[in-house]
Amino acid sequence: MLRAAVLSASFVLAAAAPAFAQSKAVLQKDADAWAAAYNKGDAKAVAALYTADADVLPDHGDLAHGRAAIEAMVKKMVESGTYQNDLKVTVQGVRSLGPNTASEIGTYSITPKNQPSQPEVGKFASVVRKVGSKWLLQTDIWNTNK
Amino acid sequence: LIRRSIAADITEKLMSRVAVLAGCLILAAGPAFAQSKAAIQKLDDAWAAAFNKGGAKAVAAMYTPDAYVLPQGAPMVHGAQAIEALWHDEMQHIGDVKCTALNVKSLGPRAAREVGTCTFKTKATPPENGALKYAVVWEKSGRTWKLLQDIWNFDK
Repeated sequence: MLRAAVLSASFVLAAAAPAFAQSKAVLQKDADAWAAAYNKGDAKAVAALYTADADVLPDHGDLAHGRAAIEAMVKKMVESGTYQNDLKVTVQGVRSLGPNTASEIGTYSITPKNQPSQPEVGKFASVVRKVGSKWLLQTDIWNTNK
Repeated sequence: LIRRSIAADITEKLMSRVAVLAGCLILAAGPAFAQSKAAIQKLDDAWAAAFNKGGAKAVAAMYTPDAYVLPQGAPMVHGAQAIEALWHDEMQHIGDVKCTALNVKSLGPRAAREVGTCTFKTKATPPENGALKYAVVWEKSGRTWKLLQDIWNFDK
């Protein structure tokens, strides 16, 4: 009886899991993965966090469409050597737009190498889409607070 | 929670059925589908017209009550009052805004994502030309589409 209850409870939880997937915690993990890949200089791993048809509008850069263009954009950012490898991204708000889509906004900080005492603080807005079991970025844009 | 997700599921199914029906009606009625580039461009034009007239209240009315605006060069603002104040301030510095929808993606029956560009003139003397790119999410609120999040930056 107990086992049946546990089984059915976990089954129900598993079935209900997509509803939780849009939670801030899940998207925060993805944001942490983005920052970790970027801080390692792994442009391919960053690009893998986007949908195949994603649009990225980088601050002070041209729009990039699709994973190859996004990878090239991140590579350029990394190779510019402008920043220390200390990007930190914080998800602040998540809004469900349907079973497989959500929008999110948040903030980031990163330290310019030439101004180590003044970290750059900015913000981002994204649209995420569920592809298979993963939430991938479909649109992503950011800018600085100054 | 389970009941809520079942209810959400039923709502979702109903919504998609309604959307299909609405889609048929719209197909019959003409090219007025709300998530088309042309329809979103009309919203952009209304936004720019309100902005260029100095109508901060009218601009703010095009956002959902819980919208976020993430302006280039300043912290994000949230909610109708803060959004109105932000646009009132921006109107003192720039004008002659024209926005062009480049790419509109449907995000289901009640949301759409738009990527576009705007040109503007500063109110400095002499005025300078400016350009920016933006990404916004529109959400259907009753019969009208409103901005849920709005952010822009510069290419250079």
